[in-house]
Amino acid sequence: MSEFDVMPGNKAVAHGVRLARVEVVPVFPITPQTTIIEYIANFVANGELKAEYIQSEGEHTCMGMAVGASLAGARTFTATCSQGLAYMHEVVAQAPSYRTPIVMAVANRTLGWYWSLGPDYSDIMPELNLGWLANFAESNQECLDMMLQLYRISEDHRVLLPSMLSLDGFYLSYSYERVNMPDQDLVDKFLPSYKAPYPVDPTISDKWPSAGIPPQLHTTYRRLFEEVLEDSKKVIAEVDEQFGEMFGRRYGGIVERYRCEGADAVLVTMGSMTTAARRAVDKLRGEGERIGLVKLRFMRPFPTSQIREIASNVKAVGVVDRMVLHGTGGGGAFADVKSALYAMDDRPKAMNFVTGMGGEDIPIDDLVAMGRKVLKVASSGKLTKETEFVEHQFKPERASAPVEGEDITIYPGSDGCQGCGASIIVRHLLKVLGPNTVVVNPPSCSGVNYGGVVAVPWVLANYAAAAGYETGMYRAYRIKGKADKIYLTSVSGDGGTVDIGLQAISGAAERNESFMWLCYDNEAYMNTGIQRSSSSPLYASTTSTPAGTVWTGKPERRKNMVLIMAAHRIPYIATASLAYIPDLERKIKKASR
Amino acid sequence: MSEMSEKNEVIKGMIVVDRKQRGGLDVSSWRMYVPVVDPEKCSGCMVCALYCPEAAIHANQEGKPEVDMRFCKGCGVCANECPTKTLKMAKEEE
Repeated sequence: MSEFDVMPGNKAVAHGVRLARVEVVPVFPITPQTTIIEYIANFVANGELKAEYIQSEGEHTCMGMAVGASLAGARTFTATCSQGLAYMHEVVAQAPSYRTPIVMAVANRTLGWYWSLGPDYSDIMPELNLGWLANFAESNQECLDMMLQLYRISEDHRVLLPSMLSLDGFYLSYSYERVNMPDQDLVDKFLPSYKAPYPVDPTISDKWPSAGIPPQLHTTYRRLFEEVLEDSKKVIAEVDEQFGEMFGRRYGGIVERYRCEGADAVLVTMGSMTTAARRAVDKLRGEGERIGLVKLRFMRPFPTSQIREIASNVKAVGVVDRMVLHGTGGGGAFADVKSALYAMDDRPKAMNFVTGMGGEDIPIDDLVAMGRKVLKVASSGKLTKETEFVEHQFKPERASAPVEGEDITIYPGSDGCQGCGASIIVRHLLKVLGPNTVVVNPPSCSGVNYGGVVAVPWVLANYAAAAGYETGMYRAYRIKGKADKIYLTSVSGDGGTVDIGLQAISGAAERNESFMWLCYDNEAYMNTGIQRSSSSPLYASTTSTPAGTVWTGKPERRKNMVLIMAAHRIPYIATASLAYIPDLERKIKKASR
Repeated sequence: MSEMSEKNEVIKGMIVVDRKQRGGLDVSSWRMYVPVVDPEKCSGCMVCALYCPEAAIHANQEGKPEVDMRFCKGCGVCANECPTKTLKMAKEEE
């Protein structure tokens, strides 16, 4: 019997990367994916995985690195989610046409327009239709096993397309489960090293992949892509079967059926909610109800024929969606299931439950209630409401504490850690600038912790675009004659300044936009848990540059941001320390003029 | 959280922050240590208030520091910064 361990989903993914002997790993931290790249960093730092580990300055570049490495013929892995996945979207769209079999783990998290760290599929939904294969894992074991399977499927020359492994943030990424660790020799037999058919390598190949074709051929190549994706279903089934023979675990290929025998109705789920749905189906079956469960393991390619076959034996299908296709009135999985059912002459009723958005739990009781509703539709043959939003009461846990005083810009107390330095900076910044201040805040601890206790407008901006938000506001104030009445400033960490935010800051500085940029330089990505930034000093041992038997901390010297900004010839730039508060306040005051 | 109640919404689905409804955040349950001032020896320099990350310290009528215990997390920055070491951290009584 193979070894086993108890580990979170992110570690299972990292072990999958190690066992697959991945050669290039470009990374950028984002919760709840970050620990995947931390575990991998530890493997590389201690010689357990021989790989090029690249710390990118943002996800857009990160996916560029992945496509480049894969084009050059290396087995490549990256991981992201949510805002990061959205930021790399353009490059994600490019990867399939180059036929780069990258595997990317997506530790699902809500895509911000309402911010949450919790999972729903709003992040992966816009990426589903780009030509990637998309697999949704239910357990940590499945995460590890699918890492190996996905490389086999993706690198198969009948497929040669990138894959996403979707694991629900928190529910899988941070939850500990028993995971069997496959034997490395067996994995090597199952997954031989990657041989790119046409590597971009002029020393060994005279041919390379291209993404350029005339418009007249676009429709043809889109059809060919659809055929390749259709054919990949065979490969998915084959690989699952072979994996089962070698490792003793089978997942049912593209869809899994659970207690569907003789069912009048089925629930359709995906990802981690499936485990709760199994218990719900068990309960209903125990009461004699004829209900089954269908787990959509792959959303792309979509299991159209399997869904039709299942649907031909039932009277009602209830799709549980953790995503909404806004403007359609329902969820994404529902839309796909419905469109699969339409070509059937005698099709069952289809209903939709949208639930668990923003990471809210989907409890067994809810799924039992959903099951009962689907069963009722099956027995009555009547469907009155197509989509139901399963909502819960919200009770605020705490009320704000009254504080007396005039012209308060920031209230006492916050969600920040005890003794937080950023808190001291933000309080003195707002004390100096006063109530007519607008804070633009790229993702950082300060937005999470102080945005809720300030009495000035505090705008959460997208990571790479914060200086863009500020520029837009400044220009709006200028045209309305308000530019000299409002102080506009950022509160940004070093990641948002020296790494991902640099392009927008440089642009604003070059145009001489009149606003302040306050960077509290932690010398690492603190909000995601102390990963290296380009502001981290030489030999810094961070969670993504751990000192190990091979690594000795960060090998590069830090970027000199002050000199970079000075080279833009901006009117004022200063460095200050919160150890010297009067000096800090004086510099903020001078900058505000 | 008051701004997130559905009945306060004027424009459907739009979340609006009202700065007049805002206040401090009671974090007293975070605390394991509590700052204690020796009023006899304290010089009243108020450096502790300058550095308090939660802005929980204010000068009382005698010009000596007074901690609003609703907002103190017990981080100890004040005691660390106190130049006369007359502000000290003590274990919080249950």
